[in-house]
Amino acid sequence: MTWAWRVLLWAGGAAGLWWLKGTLGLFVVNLLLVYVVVAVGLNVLMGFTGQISAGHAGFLAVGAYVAALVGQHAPGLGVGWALLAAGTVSAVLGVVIGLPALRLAGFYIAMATLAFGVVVSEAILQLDAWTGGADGMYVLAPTWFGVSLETDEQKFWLVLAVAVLTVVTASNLARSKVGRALTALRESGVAAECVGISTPFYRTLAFVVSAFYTGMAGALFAYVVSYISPDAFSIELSIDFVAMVILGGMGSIGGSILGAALLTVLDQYLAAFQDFRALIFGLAVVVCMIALPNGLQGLFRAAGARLRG
Amino acid sequence: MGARDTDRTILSVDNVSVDFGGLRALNRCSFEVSKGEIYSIIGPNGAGKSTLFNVVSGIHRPAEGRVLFRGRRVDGLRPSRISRMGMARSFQNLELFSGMTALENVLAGGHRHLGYGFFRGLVFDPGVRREERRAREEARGLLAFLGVEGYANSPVDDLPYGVQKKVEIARALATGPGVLLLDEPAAGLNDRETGELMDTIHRIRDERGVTLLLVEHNMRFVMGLSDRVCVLSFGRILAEGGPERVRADPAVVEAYLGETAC
Repeated sequence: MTWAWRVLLWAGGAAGLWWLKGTLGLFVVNLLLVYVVVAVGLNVLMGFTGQISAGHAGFLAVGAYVAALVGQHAPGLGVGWALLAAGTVSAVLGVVIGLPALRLAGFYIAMATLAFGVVVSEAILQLDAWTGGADGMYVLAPTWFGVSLETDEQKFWLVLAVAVLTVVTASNLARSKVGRALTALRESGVAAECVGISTPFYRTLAFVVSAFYTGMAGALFAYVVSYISPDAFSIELSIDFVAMVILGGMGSIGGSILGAALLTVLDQYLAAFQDFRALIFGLAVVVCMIALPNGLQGLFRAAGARLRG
Repeated sequence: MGARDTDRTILSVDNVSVDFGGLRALNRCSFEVSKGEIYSIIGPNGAGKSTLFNVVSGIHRPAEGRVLFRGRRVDGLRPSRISRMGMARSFQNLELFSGMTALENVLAGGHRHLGYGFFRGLVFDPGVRREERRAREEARGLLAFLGVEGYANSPVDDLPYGVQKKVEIARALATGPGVLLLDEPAAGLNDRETGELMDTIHRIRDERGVTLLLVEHNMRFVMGLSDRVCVLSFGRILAEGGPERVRADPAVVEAYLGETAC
């Protein structure tokens, strides 16, 4: 991609966010950016290595509760450390899930991660001395060098910074030897092994990286909504994340951004039809998988190629 | 190749057996490959040639016996470990990374030669950029070595079969191997392509100092190319030696050559 295109894309993204702020409010924009981080993180796992996680709401919950607990027990700690803690705890759980997942293929990984999501919800309920159980817990605003980030606008800059950092690092990862190794493993495990790419190392690494991003997103989510409870991290949310990645286009980071944006905005307009929400999202995913195997990203790419002749 | 003392032996398969369920695919096979040699394994379908390759490259574990590469035991190691020690291979039914370009396939082959770590990959600092650029040049050079540099940026799935085979060899060479295993490299190639391949294999040995171990069906190809030939039938080694000697071996004629080489 040329520099001109890249500048144009970033500018387009900024304009899109500006427009959304005007129509749906800053809170929705913040939520959208949090989901961008999740979708990009999930894409590292799903798109690069082809392992489907149906339990990423679990990693989101872990990050959110770590941030809430840090706020409660170490209120002076800077937001950078809190995010690092949320990401790291989630990444450790990523190893715990990633190692047994090595022995599983495709569909069974989806089942194992689905179970992980349920276990996390249940654990939050059981550890009510810490988490407040079903009552949930309030999240203190994060602090940045002594400044408390209370308003939606302050939180916006925080979430935006993390989202940009996520997109940049994940894009770098994709074009580095690690990205090639992950894609190689997806396409042919045996050939990847025979050029010296270790399957257990890289498949676990994909889980860890994905869990780290999602854990960080969980902390941001906690800050944005300022109150969390186990039912905020349902299986439906995990499925929404999968839908974002598939709608956007597997393996494309730009696609993940589009997918997260589209589903978040759609969700706002479908608020009046809550009962049909799952139906509409489900249909959208099915139609997308049949009609647009490369997602929105593929559609845009094809349109761009046609424009250039 | 003259006398083979241990210094010259780069790969040795020692008394290797492999079982698939109740079936004994390989039965106490032993042979040694010398540095700089072109060594071929021939035999009828189902003789165990590909199984032997899979044992040597670490995909299968032998039920008994040992595989020594550069004097170190490699049986039981992961293929990725063995690859990093300097063994590369191609596959009978191509195993290219589809969805990547030819160049990216070769770059993936050079994975272990990129020194930067995970975190520097996230940052993609100028040092990483330089390393990536150098790796790209080397990958291009390998495609040129095989005469397919014109296809560097094409998705591998779109390439003709013969080109795909060359890309796979380039990818294997990108690992920087001491020994290259080629599984039926001439299968599906026409006479002209087969001639080119013989030339390429000689150049891989002579210009890059790579030892070659081949599994092949095409008789003319094997006899014209190999320093030594090993004949496998029903999991056993029937004969081993120079092409002429093997061709004349009565057991070989009966088991294999009798039907094809008259």
